[in-house]
Amino acid sequence: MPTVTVEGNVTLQQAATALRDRLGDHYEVTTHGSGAEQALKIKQSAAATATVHLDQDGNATTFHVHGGGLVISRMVNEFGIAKKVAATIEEAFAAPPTT
Amino acid sequence: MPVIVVTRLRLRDPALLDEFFTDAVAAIEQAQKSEGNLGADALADANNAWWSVTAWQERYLMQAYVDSEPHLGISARLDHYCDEATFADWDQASPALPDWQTSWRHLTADGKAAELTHPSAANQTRDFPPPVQPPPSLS
Repeated sequence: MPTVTVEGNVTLQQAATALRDRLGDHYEVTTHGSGAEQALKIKQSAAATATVHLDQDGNATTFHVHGGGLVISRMVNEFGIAKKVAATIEEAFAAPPTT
Repeated sequence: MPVIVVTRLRLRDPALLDEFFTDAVAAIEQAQKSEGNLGADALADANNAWWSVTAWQERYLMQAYVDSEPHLGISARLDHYCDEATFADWDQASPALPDWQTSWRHLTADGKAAELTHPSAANQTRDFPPPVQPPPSLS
Protein backbone atom coordinates (compact mmCIF):
# COMPACT_ATOMS: atom_id res chain seq x y z
CA MET A 1 0.00 0.00 0.00
CA PRO A 2 1.58 3.27 -1.05
CA THR A 3 1.84 5.78 1.79
CA VAL A 4 2.69 9.43 1.37
CA THR A 5 3.51 11.83 4.21
CA VAL A 6 3.55 15.56 3.57
CA GLU A 7 4.11 18.57 5.78
CA GLY A 8 1.12 20.47 7.12
CA ASN A 9 -2.49 19.55 7.66
CA VAL A 10 -4.12 18.67 4.37
CA THR A 11 -7.86 18.07 4.38
CA LEU A 12 -9.61 15.35 2.45
CA GLN A 13 -11.37 18.01 0.38
CA GLN A 14 -8.04 19.60 -0.55
CA ALA A 15 -6.77 16.16 -1.56
CA ALA A 16 -9.89 15.52 -3.64
CA THR A 17 -9.51 18.84 -5.44
CA ALA A 18 -5.83 18.22 -6.15
CA LEU A 19 -6.53 14.74 -7.50
CA ARG A 20 -9.36 15.98 -9.73
CA ASP A 21 -7.16 18.77 -11.11
CA ARG A 22 -4.15 16.60 -11.76
CA LEU A 23 -5.69 13.29 -12.82
CA GLY A 24 -8.15 14.83 -15.26
CA ASP A 25 -11.49 13.68 -16.57
CA HIS A 26 -10.56 10.03 -16.98
CA TYR A 27 -10.65 9.60 -13.22
CA GLU A 28 -13.68 10.00 -10.97
CA VAL A 29 -12.91 11.22 -7.44
CA THR A 30 -15.67 10.88 -4.83
CA THR A 31 -15.90 11.32 -1.05
CA HIS A 32 -17.32 8.56 1.18
CA GLY A 33 -18.06 8.18 4.89
CA SER A 34 -17.81 10.88 7.50
CA GLY A 35 -15.58 12.07 10.31
CA ALA A 36 -12.55 9.90 10.98
CA GLU A 37 -13.91 7.31 8.57
CA GLN A 38 -14.04 9.71 5.66
CA ALA A 39 -12.14 8.61 2.59
CA LEU A 40 -11.79 9.20 -1.13
CA LYS A 41 -12.51 6.74 -3.87
CA ILE A 42 -10.73 7.17 -7.19
CA LYS A 43 -12.13 5.29 -10.14
CA GLN A 44 -10.53 5.01 -13.55
CA SER A 45 -12.72 2.14 -14.74
CA ALA A 46 -14.95 -0.50 -13.18
CA ALA A 47 -11.88 -2.59 -12.39
CA ALA A 48 -9.33 0.10 -11.64
CA THR A 49 -10.12 1.78 -8.33
CA ALA A 50 -8.23 3.05 -5.32
CA THR A 51 -9.12 4.51 -1.96
CA VAL A 52 -7.39 7.19 0.07
CA HIS A 53 -7.69 7.88 3.77
CA LEU A 54 -5.49 10.12 5.81
CA ASP A 55 -4.03 10.51 9.28
CA GLN A 56 -3.26 13.90 10.75
CA ASP A 57 -0.29 13.82 13.07
CA GLY A 58 0.80 17.17 14.44
CA ASN A 59 2.01 19.15 11.49
CA ALA A 60 2.07 16.31 8.99
CA THR A 61 -0.52 14.44 6.98
CA THR A 62 -0.12 10.81 5.99
CA PHE A 63 -2.12 9.52 3.04
CA HIS A 64 -2.81 5.77 2.88
CA VAL A 65 -3.65 4.68 -0.64
CA HIS A 66 -5.19 1.23 -1.14
CA GLY A 67 -6.00 -0.57 -4.33
CA GLY A 68 -9.68 -1.36 -4.68
CA GLY A 69 -11.43 -4.55 -5.74
CA LEU A 70 -11.27 -8.16 -4.64
CA VAL A 71 -8.13 -10.18 -3.94
CA ILE A 72 -6.15 -10.40 -7.20
CA SER A 73 -7.66 -7.30 -8.78
CA ARG A 74 -6.95 -5.43 -5.55
CA MET A 75 -3.33 -6.58 -5.65
CA VAL A 76 -3.07 -5.42 -9.26
CA ASN A 77 -4.58 -2.06 -8.31
CA GLU A 78 -2.06 -1.70 -5.48
CA PHE A 79 0.54 -1.95 -8.18
CA GLY A 80 -1.17 0.34 -10.69
CA ILE A 81 -3.72 3.00 -9.88
CA ALA A 82 -2.78 3.21 -6.18
CA LYS A 83 0.82 4.04 -7.07
CA LYS A 84 -0.34 6.66 -9.56
CA VAL A 85 -2.66 8.26 -7.01
CA ALA A 86 0.09 8.28 -4.37
CA ALA A 87 2.53 9.87 -6.80
CA THR A 88 -0.06 12.51 -7.69
CA ILE A 89 -0.65 13.35 -4.03
CA GLU A 90 3.08 13.59 -3.42
CA GLU A 91 3.50 15.87 -6.42
CA ALA A 92 0.56 18.06 -5.37
CA PHE A 93 1.57 18.57 -1.76
CA ALA A 94 5.33 18.22 -1.77
CA ALA A 95 7.07 21.09 -0.06
CA PRO A 96 8.59 23.53 -2.55
CA PRO A 97 12.35 23.14 -2.84
CA THR A 98 14.36 25.50 -0.69
CA THR A 99 17.43 27.18 -2.06
CA MET B 1 -12.42 -28.32 11.34
CA PRO B 2 -11.27 -25.50 9.03
CA VAL B 3 -7.66 -24.34 9.29
CA ILE B 4 -6.71 -20.69 8.91
CA VAL B 5 -3.23 -19.68 7.76
CA VAL B 6 -1.95 -16.11 7.96
CA THR B 7 1.34 -14.84 6.60
CA ARG B 8 2.96 -11.45 6.93
CA LEU B 9 5.92 -10.69 4.69
CA ARG B 10 7.83 -7.42 4.66
CA LEU B 11 10.11 -6.57 1.77
CA ARG B 12 13.65 -5.76 2.85
CA ASP B 13 13.95 -3.42 -0.15
CA PRO B 14 11.09 -1.66 -1.98
CA ALA B 15 12.97 -2.31 -5.23
CA LEU B 16 12.05 -5.99 -4.86
CA LEU B 17 8.35 -5.24 -5.25
CA ASP B 18 8.12 -6.06 -8.96
CA GLU B 19 9.43 -9.60 -8.66
CA PHE B 20 7.75 -10.21 -5.30
CA PHE B 21 4.42 -9.06 -6.67
CA THR B 22 4.52 -11.62 -9.48
CA ASP B 23 5.19 -14.41 -6.99
CA ALA B 24 2.53 -13.16 -4.58
CA VAL B 25 -0.17 -13.16 -7.24
CA ALA B 26 0.89 -16.63 -8.38
CA ALA B 27 0.69 -17.99 -4.83
CA ILE B 28 -2.74 -16.50 -4.18
CA GLU B 29 -4.10 -17.76 -7.50
CA GLN B 30 -2.69 -21.22 -6.76
CA ALA B 31 -4.36 -21.22 -3.35
CA GLN B 32 -7.71 -20.22 -4.83
CA LYS B 33 -7.53 -23.15 -7.26
CA SER B 34 -6.22 -25.74 -4.80
CA GLU B 35 -8.30 -28.60 -3.46
CA GLY B 36 -9.72 -27.83 -0.06
CA ASN B 37 -9.30 -24.08 -0.23
CA LEU B 38 -12.20 -22.22 1.38
CA GLY B 39 -11.01 -18.70 0.68
CA ALA B 40 -7.95 -16.53 0.16
CA ASP B 41 -7.23 -12.86 0.52
CA ALA B 42 -4.28 -10.48 0.55
CA LEU B 43 -3.61 -7.05 1.99
CA ALA B 44 -0.93 -4.57 1.06
CA ASP B 45 0.00 -2.96 4.37
CA ALA B 46 2.13 0.10 5.10
CA ASN B 47 5.93 -0.12 5.16
CA ASN B 48 6.16 -2.68 2.37
CA ALA B 49 4.41 -5.40 4.37
CA TRP B 50 2.05 -7.82 2.64
CA TRP B 51 -0.43 -10.05 4.39
CA SER B 52 -2.22 -13.13 3.15
CA VAL B 53 -4.89 -15.26 4.75
CA THR B 54 -6.25 -18.58 3.53
CA ALA B 55 -8.84 -21.02 4.89
CA TRP B 56 -8.63 -24.77 4.32
CA GLN B 57 -11.00 -27.69 4.82
CA GLU B 58 -8.26 -29.88 6.30
CA ARG B 59 -4.67 -29.39 7.39
CA TYR B 60 -3.31 -32.02 4.98
CA LEU B 61 -4.88 -30.18 2.03
CA MET B 62 -3.20 -26.95 3.13
CA GLN B 63 0.11 -28.83 3.39
CA ALA B 64 -0.34 -30.23 -0.12
CA TYR B 65 -0.65 -26.65 -1.39
CA VAL B 66 2.43 -25.54 0.54
CA ASP B 67 4.46 -28.44 -0.88
CA SER B 68 3.48 -27.89 -4.53
CA GLU B 69 4.68 -25.45 -7.14
CA PRO B 70 4.65 -22.54 -7.52
CA HIS B 71 4.31 -22.06 -3.75
CA LEU B 72 7.23 -24.36 -2.98
CA GLY B 73 9.64 -22.39 -5.14
CA ILE B 74 8.31 -19.04 -3.96
CA SER B 75 8.81 -19.96 -0.30
CA ALA B 76 12.47 -20.70 -1.11
CA ARG B 77 12.83 -17.07 -2.22
CA LEU B 78 11.50 -15.52 1.00
CA ASP B 79 15.03 -15.00 2.27
CA HIS B 80 15.76 -13.00 -0.86
CA TYR B 81 12.64 -10.87 -0.49
CA CYS B 82 12.09 -10.34 3.21
CA ASP B 83 13.47 -8.94 6.42
CA GLU B 84 10.30 -10.05 8.22
CA ALA B 85 8.44 -13.29 7.43
CA THR B 86 5.98 -14.65 9.95
CA PHE B 87 3.27 -17.31 9.81
CA ALA B 88 0.43 -18.40 12.06
CA ASP B 89 -2.22 -21.06 11.74
CA TRP B 90 -5.13 -22.11 13.88
CA ASP B 91 -8.27 -24.20 13.76
CA GLN B 92 -11.61 -22.45 13.89
CA ALA B 93 -15.19 -23.59 13.71
CA SER B 94 -16.17 -21.21 10.93
CA PRO B 95 -14.78 -21.54 7.39
CA ALA B 96 -14.96 -17.76 6.95
CA LEU B 97 -11.74 -15.80 6.59
CA PRO B 98 -10.92 -13.79 9.72
CA ASP B 99 -10.63 -10.02 9.46
CA TRP B 100 -7.15 -8.50 9.31
CA GLN B 101 -7.10 -7.31 12.91
CA THR B 102 -7.91 -10.84 14.13
CA SER B 103 -5.18 -12.17 11.86
CA TRP B 104 -2.76 -9.64 13.33
CA ARG B 105 -3.64 -10.71 16.91
CA HIS B 106 -3.00 -14.38 16.10
CA LEU B 107 0.21 -13.61 14.27
CA THR B 108 1.71 -11.41 16.98
CA ALA B 109 0.63 -13.81 19.74
CA ASP B 110 1.51 -17.18 18.23
CA GLY B 111 3.30 -16.63 14.93
CA LYS B 112 6.45 -18.41 13.89
CA ALA B 113 9.25 -16.43 12.28
CA ALA B 114 11.22 -17.64 9.30
CA GLU B 115 14.99 -17.83 9.57
CA LEU B 116 16.24 -14.96 7.43
CA THR B 117 19.69 -13.78 6.43
CA HIS B 118 18.82 -10.12 7.02
CA PRO B 119 16.05 -10.10 9.65
CA SER B 120 14.76 -6.93 11.25
CA ALA B 121 14.69 -6.74 15.04
CA ALA B 122 10.93 -7.30 14.97
CA ASN B 123 11.16 -10.55 13.01
CA GLN B 124 11.71 -12.59 16.16
CA THR B 125 9.73 -10.46 18.62
CA ARG B 126 6.73 -10.12 16.28
CA ASP B 127 6.35 -6.53 17.41
CA PHE B 128 4.40 -5.60 14.30
CA PRO B 129 1.93 -2.72 14.05
CA PRO B 130 -1.67 -3.58 13.24
CA PRO B 131 -2.33 -3.59 9.51
CA VAL B 132 -3.57 -0.35 7.99
CA GLN B 133 -6.88 -0.88 6.20
CA PRO B 134 -9.24 1.36 4.28
CA PRO B 135 -12.17 2.69 6.35
CA PRO B 136 -15.20 0.35 6.48
CA SER B 137 -17.13 2.73 4.23
CA LEU B 138 -14.84 1.70 1.38
CA SER B 139 -13.90 -1.88 2.30
